[in-house]
Amino acid sequence: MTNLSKSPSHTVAEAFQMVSSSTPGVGEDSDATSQQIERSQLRSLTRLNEAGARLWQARSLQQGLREMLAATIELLGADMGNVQIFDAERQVLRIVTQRGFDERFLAFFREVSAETGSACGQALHTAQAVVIEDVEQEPSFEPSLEAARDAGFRAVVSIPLCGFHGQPLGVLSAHFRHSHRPTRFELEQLALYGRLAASFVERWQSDEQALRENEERLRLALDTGGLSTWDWDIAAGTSVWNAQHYALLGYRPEQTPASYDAWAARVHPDDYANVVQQCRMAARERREFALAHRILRTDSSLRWCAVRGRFVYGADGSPQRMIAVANDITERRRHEEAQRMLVAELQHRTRNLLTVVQSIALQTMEATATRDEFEDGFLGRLRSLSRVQGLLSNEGYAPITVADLLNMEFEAFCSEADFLKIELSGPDITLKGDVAQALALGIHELATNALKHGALAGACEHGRLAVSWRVEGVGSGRNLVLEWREDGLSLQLHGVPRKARGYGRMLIEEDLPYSLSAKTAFELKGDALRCRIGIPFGYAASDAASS
Amino acid sequence: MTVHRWPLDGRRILVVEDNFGIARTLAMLFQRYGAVILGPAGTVEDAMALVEAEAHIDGAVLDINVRDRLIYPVARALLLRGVRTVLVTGYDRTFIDPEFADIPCVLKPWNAEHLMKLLSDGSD
Repeated sequence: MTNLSKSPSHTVAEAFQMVSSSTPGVGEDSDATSQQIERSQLRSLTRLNEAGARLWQARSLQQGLREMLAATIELLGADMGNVQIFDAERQVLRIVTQRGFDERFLAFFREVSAETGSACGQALHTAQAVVIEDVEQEPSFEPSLEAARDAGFRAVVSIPLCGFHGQPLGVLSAHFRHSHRPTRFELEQLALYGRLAASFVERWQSDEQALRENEERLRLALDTGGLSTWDWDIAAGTSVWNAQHYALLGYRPEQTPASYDAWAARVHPDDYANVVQQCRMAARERREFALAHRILRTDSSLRWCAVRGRFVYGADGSPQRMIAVANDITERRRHEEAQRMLVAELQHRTRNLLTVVQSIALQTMEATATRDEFEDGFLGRLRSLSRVQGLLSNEGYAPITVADLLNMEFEAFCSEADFLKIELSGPDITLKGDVAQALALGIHELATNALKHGALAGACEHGRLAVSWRVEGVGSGRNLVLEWREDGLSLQLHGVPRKARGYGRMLIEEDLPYSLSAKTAFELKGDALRCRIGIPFGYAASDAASS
Repeated sequence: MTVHRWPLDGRRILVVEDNFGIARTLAMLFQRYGAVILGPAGTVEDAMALVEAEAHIDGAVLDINVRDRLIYPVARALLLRGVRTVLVTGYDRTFIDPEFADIPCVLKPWNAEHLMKLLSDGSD
């Protein structure tokens, strides 16, 4: 731990020799000395064993090393000492625990470069013990002499802490107020202490590494899941947010530091009181909280987030800290809302459709005299209604055009020969759903009539049917006009007034004007039938898909 | 249950419904119960005009959505006059504005007898 301008190589060599060559009891003066050595060796091993047992219970690196330092000082009968840990990345030795040094000394030597030729640096690099018996007599110690005098020590013993693969981990040093020369067996025991301390440091660091990797994995998982985190130290009033949390609130970390107030400023004003109340209740009842609220970002965009979290309580039972995770559920809510609307719309459509069926049944009943006539009319209308429902259910993917409605109706009951009599012409015009339904029923009545009594009837050899449609007028006065012309009709066929036709004409002359604000004209003159239906364009169709 | 041949005898009933077939059916059925039909009206404007023009209205059946618009202004005007009003909708009841929570609401497809009872004595 002390700086030396030159490496104290001779001292290192000496110490190394002392450590490596000595065998306790062998070559010593007498049996009495040998017994004394054995006793102190036993004592020292017992002490080492105690320190080892406590090491396993250490709850911090510092606590464990403090234990080892105390045992070392006791073993050597030293006056002070310290343990430094080697930071390989920054190439420095840092004191993690010490005994007997004052603040002034520590302020200066808390962190020293491992490159310099200090006793501790030397011990680290050579992986050998360094003994300086008297700093006053050691020329190479001269640059650090002043500091040693200040701290009040004359002798130093430093041993390296090496990992399983020989990698340097740190240095354990003991200091003496008077010049001192440790015995061989003391140094030998010290080597054992050093090994135990080293294995403790190594295990601790690998645990820390594993912990860091765990944290990194956790962070990665949170990031991947799009989860934002908030760690709020309530007592200290400080907050830590991850990058997602800044993003969720619409902040930039460099502009708005994490804080309760910065969060509160972004919670939707209508939700704030409820969020705070729910969190307080969870804190009081000591349970997790889970809630959803809106966030109003600085750019006025609205987000929904779901939050889960809990509090950590102090000794007095008050919440000291809050940890919460949140995720952005805006898309999910949007989807749920769309789903809800879709179900409601489907229900509406179904209920309306049933009511339409109910009214068609009652109206057909009114207009027909016999059961056969009723069945014929009602089932035909029901089938037409069901055909247009088929188109409507696909409306989102395939817009319904005027041509679609006509083709659908003709294909339902016309033969190939019938098609030769039909001519369709007009642009692609997309119809709105309810308009398509009403118009389909109108076309159904016209087509049924044509098939039974008009141009498509089997007996009508020269019958021709032409349907044309176009947009007339300009601006808000535009109309979708559909013209239905039948020529070459047989007078015998249409000349017979039938009650069933009443429904069809009523549909065209009353229903379409009522339901679609349409203007309709129906005319049967000579061998020709003319029907003209004009529907306000803005109501009937949309420009977007028309071409 | 009281069997009455003309339960709505001479009552003047306003019908608001944008689908002509349904409107016509409602009118036909109420006429069978002896009612005099006002309308039917297929738009909010037509309905409003009828309410303003008719000095005497005994009851009203209103479809909540007519041509994509809500009938609430008409309902409000009728309720102010104390006219017995029944709402009809294809949507769920929860979609109705809480303002009209106290007046009867019938889901489509309706039962004509049920509607008639609501209009004649306000009970099921």
